[in-house]
Formats: sequence, C-alpha cells, structure tokens
Amino acid sequence: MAENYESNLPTLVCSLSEPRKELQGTRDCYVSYLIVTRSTLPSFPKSEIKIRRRFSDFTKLHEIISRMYQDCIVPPLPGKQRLEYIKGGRFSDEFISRRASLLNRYLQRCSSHPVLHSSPHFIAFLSNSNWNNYVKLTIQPKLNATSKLEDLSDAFLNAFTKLREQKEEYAQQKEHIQQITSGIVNMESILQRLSKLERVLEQNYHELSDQFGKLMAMNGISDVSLDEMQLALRGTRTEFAGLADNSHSLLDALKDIEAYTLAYRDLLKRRDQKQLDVEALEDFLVKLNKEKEKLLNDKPSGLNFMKTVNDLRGINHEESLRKQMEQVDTEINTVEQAIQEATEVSMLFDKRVNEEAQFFNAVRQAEMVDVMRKYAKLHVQFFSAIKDIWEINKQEP
Amino acid sequence: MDSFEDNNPFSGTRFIKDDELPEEADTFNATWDDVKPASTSSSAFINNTERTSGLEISKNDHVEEEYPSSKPLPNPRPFMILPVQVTGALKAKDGSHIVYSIKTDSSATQRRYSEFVSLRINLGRLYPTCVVPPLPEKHSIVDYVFSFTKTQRNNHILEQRKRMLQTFLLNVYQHPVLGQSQVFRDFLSRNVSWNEVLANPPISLLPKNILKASPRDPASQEEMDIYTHLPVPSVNLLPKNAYDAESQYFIQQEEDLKTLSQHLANHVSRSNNQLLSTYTRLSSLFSELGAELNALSLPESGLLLACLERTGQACDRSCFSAVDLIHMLIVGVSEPLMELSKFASTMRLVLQYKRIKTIQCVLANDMLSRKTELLELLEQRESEANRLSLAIQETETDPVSLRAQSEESSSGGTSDERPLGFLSPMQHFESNFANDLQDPYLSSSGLNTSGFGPASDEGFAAHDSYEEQSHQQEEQDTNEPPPDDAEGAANTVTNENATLPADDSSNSPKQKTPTSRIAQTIAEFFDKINFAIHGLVDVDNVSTRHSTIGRTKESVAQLERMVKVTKQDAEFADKTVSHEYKRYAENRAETLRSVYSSFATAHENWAKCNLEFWSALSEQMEREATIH
Repeated sequence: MAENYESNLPTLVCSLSEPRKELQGTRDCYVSYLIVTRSTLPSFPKSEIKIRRRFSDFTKLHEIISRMYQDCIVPPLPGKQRLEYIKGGRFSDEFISRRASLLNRYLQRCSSHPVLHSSPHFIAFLSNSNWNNYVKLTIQPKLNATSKLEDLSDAFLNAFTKLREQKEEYAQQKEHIQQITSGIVNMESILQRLSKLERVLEQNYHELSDQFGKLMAMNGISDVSLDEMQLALRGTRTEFAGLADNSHSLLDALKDIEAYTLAYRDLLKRRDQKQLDVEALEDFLVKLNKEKEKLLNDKPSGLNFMKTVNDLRGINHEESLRKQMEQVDTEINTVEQAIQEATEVSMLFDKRVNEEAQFFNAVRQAEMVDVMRKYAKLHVQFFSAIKDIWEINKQEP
Repeated sequence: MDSFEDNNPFSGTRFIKDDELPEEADTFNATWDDVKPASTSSSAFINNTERTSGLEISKNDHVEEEYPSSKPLPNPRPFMILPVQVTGALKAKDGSHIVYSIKTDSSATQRRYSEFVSLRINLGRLYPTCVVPPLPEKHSIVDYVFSFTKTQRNNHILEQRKRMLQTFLLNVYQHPVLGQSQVFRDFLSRNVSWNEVLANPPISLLPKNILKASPRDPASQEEMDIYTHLPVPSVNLLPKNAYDAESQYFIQQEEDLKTLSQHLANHVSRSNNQLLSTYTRLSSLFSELGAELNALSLPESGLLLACLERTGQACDRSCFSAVDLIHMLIVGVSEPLMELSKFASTMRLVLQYKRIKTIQCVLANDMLSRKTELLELLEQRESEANRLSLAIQETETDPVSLRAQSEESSSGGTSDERPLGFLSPMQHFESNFANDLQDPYLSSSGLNTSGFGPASDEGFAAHDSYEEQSHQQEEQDTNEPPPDDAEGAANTVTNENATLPADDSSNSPKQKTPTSRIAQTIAEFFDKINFAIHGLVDVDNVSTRHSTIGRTKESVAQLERMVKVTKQDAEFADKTVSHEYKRYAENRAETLRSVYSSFATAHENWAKCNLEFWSALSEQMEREATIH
C-alpha cells in the first residue's frame, strides 16, 4: 500500500504553489509554478530544492514517463481533460488557480508512486535547472529509438484479436473499474447540476433581497425595518456563491480521479497486450510442432517418388531430412525460448500490474475519501455560516 | 382519492349528519393531533392577537384532554373566547366537491369552499367599512412547488387550503366587528344551512348597490327614500377641486396600497416562489446524489465504503431538510405575503368606499346649496311678482302702458319659435343628466360644469326674455342676475328628475290673488319655457309657479335630510375606516415582522439540522483519516 512505501522507503515530498505570470505583456507570456521538493532519496541532489516550471515542462515530463514506464499507471496530466466549465481565458485567475491545484495533484500522484518517484527523469524534472537541455540531449534520442509508431501499430493490430484465455482476476478488475468510472461520471453530472442550482439560488436570494428593499422603500412600510432581513438575504446569497465556487474544486478532483481510472484501464489493456504476445508465440509453436511431426512421419515411407528423384539428383535424402529437422528444431527452440521470455515478461508485467492496481486503488480510495471529506467540510462551513447569519438576525428583535 | 387526509378515520366519502354527533366528536379527537402543528404555525402569523393565539393553543391542549367527556352540547364558555378550527377536508357524499369541517367550541359544521367565498363577499357587503380578511385562491404556490406525485400534490393542496381557510376564519373571528356578526356565527353553526342564511335578512335586504346604503348597516330599511336617490360617483374620476389636502392624502394612500399589493403579489411573492421551486429542485437533486453515492459504495470496501454510505445518508437528510425548509417557507412566508397583498387591496377598496361616501356628502351639499339658491330666486321672483301686481293695480288706467304691453305680447307671439330653440339645449341637458346618473361622478363636478355647459345657451335665452321685462319696467330696477335664473331653471329640471312629486298644497293663499296683465306677461314667458320643456300647456301659470316653489321646497327639505344622512355616514365611514386602517397597518407591520422571523427561523432550523449531520459526518471522517 501507498503508506507502506512511504514509511519504509526514502521519501520524496513535493508541493506546487505560487503561480506567477512571466513575461507579462509580451507575446510569450506564460504562467510558471513554484515546486518545492524535500527528499531523502539518495539520488536526489539536495534535501530541499525549489524550482519553477511552466505547463509545457509538465507535458514533456508526462510524455517521457508515460513512454518509459509502460508498466505503471502514469497519472494523467491535467489539462488534457476538458475544462470547458471554466470562465475566462488561460490567464484568468480562476483558470490559473485551478490548474495549479490540478498540477499539484499530478505531482502528488507521481511523487507517491513507488516507481515513478525515484525515476531519474522525474527527479531531473524536480531538480535539474537545465531541464530543457536534459530533455533534448539525454531523453530525446532514447525516445526516438523506440518509435512511437511501432507501439501504436502493435496496439492497433492486437486491438481486434481477442484473448484466448481471459484471466478471471483481470476481468474482474476491468469490471470493477468500469463500474467505478461510470459511478464517478454520474456523480460528476449531479454535482454539476447541484452547483448550477446553487448559482440559481444565489440569483434567487439576490432578487428577493432586491424586492424586499423595494418593499421597504414604499410609503407607509417604513415602520417595519427589514434591513436585517435584507442583509441576511445578501449574506445567504454570498454563501451560496461560495458554495458553488468551492464545489468546482471538488468537481475538478472527481474529474481527475476519473482520468486516473482511465490510465488504469490503459494499463490493463497493455497487460492484455503482453498476454497476447505470449499467446501468439504459443500459436506459432503449435504450428512448428505440427511441421516437425509431419517431417518425422515422412521417415518410414522411404520408397516414394520424391525419394527416387532426389536419389537420382544425387541429393542425400537422409541428409536433407536431417537438415530440415534441425531447422525446425532450432526454430522450435527459439520460439520456446521466446515464449519463455514472453511469459516471464508477461508474468512480471502481471505482477507489476497487481502492484500498480493495489497502489492505484489505495490512491484512488484515498482521493475519493478526501473528496467526501471536503464535501462534508464544505457543507459544515456553509451551514454554519447560514446558521450564524440567521441566528444573529433573530436575536435582534 | 378516497381520503385526502392521511389519518382521517373517516375515509372521505361520508357526509356527517347531525345525528352522528358522538361519532363526529371522535373524528375531531382523532384528527386533533394532525391539526395542531398546523394551527400553531398558522397562529404564528395571525396578528394583533398573540395573546389570544397563545391562549388559544393552550386552550387546545386543554380541550384535547377533556373533549371526550364534555360533549359539544352544553358549553359554559362564551362563544367569543374560543378558537375556530378547520379540522378536516372530506369528499362530499356525491363526490363532486370537498367539504371542510369547522369546529368551534360550541359547534361543529361543514362548509364547502364556495360557501367560504360567499361568506366573504357578503361580509364585505354587510360591513363595507371593514377589511374582510382574504381567502386563499383556488390554485396556489403548492401547485408547482410540490409535484412529486398526484396524490402527494393533492394532499399538499388540501393541507394548504385547510390551513388558509382556518387563517381566514380566525382572522374574521378576531375582527372586533366581523367576529361578532350574526352571519359569521351562522356560518359556524351546524344547524344553519348557508343557503338559508343567504335567503334571509340581513343578507336578503341588502340593496344591489352597496353605495346606496348606510355604511353603518347596509341592510337597514331606514331612510330608504334618501339612499335610493343618492348619487353614486364613479371610482375612477377624481374631482380634484372637490378635494383638499387631506383628501389628496387619502387618494395617495389608495395609490400606495395599490402599488404595495401589486408589488407583493407580482414581485416579492414571485421571487419567493422562484426560490421555493429552486429549493424543490435542489432537494430532489440531493436525493439523487444520495442514491448515486449508495450505488457508488457497492463495489467499494473499507473506509471508502463507509464514507460513501454515510455521505449518501447525509445527502438524503439534506433532501428532507430542504423539503422541511420549503414547507416552513410556504407556511411562514409565501402565504402571509399573499395574504398581505390581498389585505392591501381590500384595504384599498375600503378606503375607496370611504372616499365615495365623502364625495356623496359633498355632492349632497352641492345639490342642496343649488336648490336653496333656486328657492331663494323663486321666492324673490314671487315677491317681485307680488310687487308688480300691486304696481299694475295702481297704473291699470294708463292705456299707453297697456298698449305697450299688448305689443309686447304680440311680440311674444314671435317668441313662439323659441321653444324649438329651447328644446334642444334642454334635451341636451336632460340627456346629459341621465348620463350623469349612469356615470355619476361626472355629475359631482358636472353639476358645476353643467351650469356652464349646456345650460349656458338656455341661460342666454332666459336672459333675453328677462331683459325685455326689465326694459319695460326700468323703474322697477330688477337686478336679478340672469345666469342664476337660468341655472335655477336648469335645476328645476334636475328637480323634476331627481325629486319626488311636489305637493301643491304648500302654496300660500296670498299668492292666489288675481294678477295683472304685466304679471301675466311675465308669467307667459315662464309658461313658454315650461311649455318648451314639458311640451304641455299649463295655462295656470300662477299655480305652476307656486308648484315649482313647492317642489323646490320639498326637494330642499329632502336634500337637507340627505346632507344630514350623508354627513353622518361620511363621518361614520371616516371614523371606522381610519380605525380599520390603523388595525390594518398594525396587522401589516406584525405580519411583515412575522414573515421576517419565519424566514429567519426556517433558515436557521434548516442550517442547524444540516449542520448537525454534516458536522457529525465530517468529524467522523476526519477522525478516521487521522487513524489511517
């Protein structure tokens, strides 16, 4: 579990804060974020490092680690998700602060990941002041060596072949994650509708306080003071606005979890891939074995036409047969070796997947619990504010 | 649809008859508990009488305890101290309508909604100076706020109707005048059918137009002759010159009430209802979220499972608390606001009534003063005629004047054409007057303008004839202002239309003495005018003149009575209405305060309730988070 890793192994803790607009007023304006990292990892150059990174640095990091760590559930990079409910442009305060909190969660997920957190690339991202050069000189050639296209075509080819043998365990995992994803999607939509309603309520309270204000301005009503009521109505309105604002961060968190589950599903797909590799090799082996059998069966029927012809041509029949047999045997050997390797790879991958799944579920559950906690807290905050508003008001008369 | 009330042991379809009394007592007893919360909440916004309502609640408890033993029959307590309850809504026997059970300490009966409406209308007619409390509308906010299921909605509508009918009854009951009225008592009494009440006095004696009746007691038969002849001014036309600053103030007050009523109904209530419908949506979304969280918890285990489950429960409770909030807002805010709006418009109508009563008084005064002027004029003329006849007797032997007179009389022949000329303005005037009766307010100012309007032509005509007279008798020096004469003539016409037939016997014997020719000539002119007007030949001009004076005197006497009555009425209306206004304003202030405090309480309770379970949840989750 995630906690175990943290307690047993050297730790790496990082936090992202202080978004800042750089080169403001120019065309090349961008936003940078401060990342503070404390670590006890031996590979980490200092115990604490502060560094500024911009969003495009994150995309590079993400590209690298998602290519290099195929057997990990690499956290999804925020911003790849739809953020259509954000008002204003890329440089609006709301956008920046939300992206900051999303990037922060990305770093949290990476830094708590048992494999990724000690990845040299991740550490370089957190500590190397010359990150761009690092990417260009050290990483890029490696990435080019394993072409993207290869991966893609491989995945594409196998996308249509079904697994011969579905492993119960992974089928269950798939179903489970499917269920969770759809649940989260539903919850997101409800929360979105709720926050819309909270906006409507904000509007309603605004209008109501206006109307009571007008009522008070009328002749003959002045003997009753509704000032406090108007104040309270306005206060309630503000609280609803706050509630709606805050539920955005919860929505972001949920969306982030949803994206994370997608990464997990991708990993499961890659695992299937490995299994498929083994299965394909096994198929090939079966074919080779059949061929060998055929050759062996040829032996006893010595007096046939082919034999005569070959004899006439001066070819040593025994010799050629032996050669063929040898060829098949070596092929079988290589395939068997390949199968062994692939199976080993697949098994290792399975093991990794299991580890990853465990880790992922722990993180996901912790995050969901966190969302629930924040949701409850938000309501506690909201309702105590509302209570205060109306309680104070009631005491006066 | 059998039973509208959940716990009513009388599942609807029975009409309780008089001989089922003990059983009915059980019904009330059984339904008492359901009704009580409604009664306490509604009494929160029945104003002016917190003491009474506080008393009444404690009384309820009291009654609840001893009700089974003290059967409704003999009740030592006087009627007035005890509250009115609407205890249930049942479907009538034939299933076509719903009857509401009403219970007072001394009696219990059932009335349907239309009878409530009829009660309200008739109270308004019987007590035009009182602000009759408003009734709930047939369809209201609940219609669209609660629309989960049909039966649920029906229940809510009935609950609300019951509550508001009870508020209505309590409001009437607490009114110092209306609460004491026989009609209201009859309404509450089990032995009287409402149709009977409608068919009997005082309601049967009410005149068609309530403005032609005494404000004190519109069903009274006293001074009927005067009331039937009261001018009824229109509400819309305001004779500005007839009003002083004080009246302007009252007109402004009416305007204010109108804006207030509209603002309350169209703006405040509307935004409040929007708020309620948003809360309705919010509450259903919360229940959806609760269900979704439960579904989400199914594939989970451990801490997350517990978290999701508990949050789901919190959401469910949020849903219920929002429903409670809506309910409290409906009872404590929406309904009183609608009531306020209706109270304002009723108050406006009562103020309007008072204004019309004042106008009627002003009109009666105007009419009287004109009539008195006319009478003075006629009497003056009479005395002149007498003086003339004396002078003629002295100069009777002078042939010149006689000839002149005969010439004049022949020229009078040419004036025969005049009647045609007279006819049209007079007809005009008469039709105008008829119009005034239909659109009576015009006449209030119109009685002045009519002196200038159509009557002015005629005024010149009369002036002409008068000049001829004065030309002949310059030495007599008659400085009678001719337009007045004309107006007098006009008023004579008014008289013919407006007053009872005059009695000739009032003429003095002295006026019966033989007249001279000159006097005859003068009389001839009047005769012609009369001829023009009435199209009949009255040869006896003297008696005509005398009867005119008699009629005028008669109508002056009647008008004097009218002035007296209208003055009294106006004073009465002014007094009671200003009292009512004070009561209304207090009520309004009280209701607004209670709206405010209900709004605050509803929100406070809502927040408290939510805070309780959300913070319990939050604390638990925080605890668990630190443990893990």
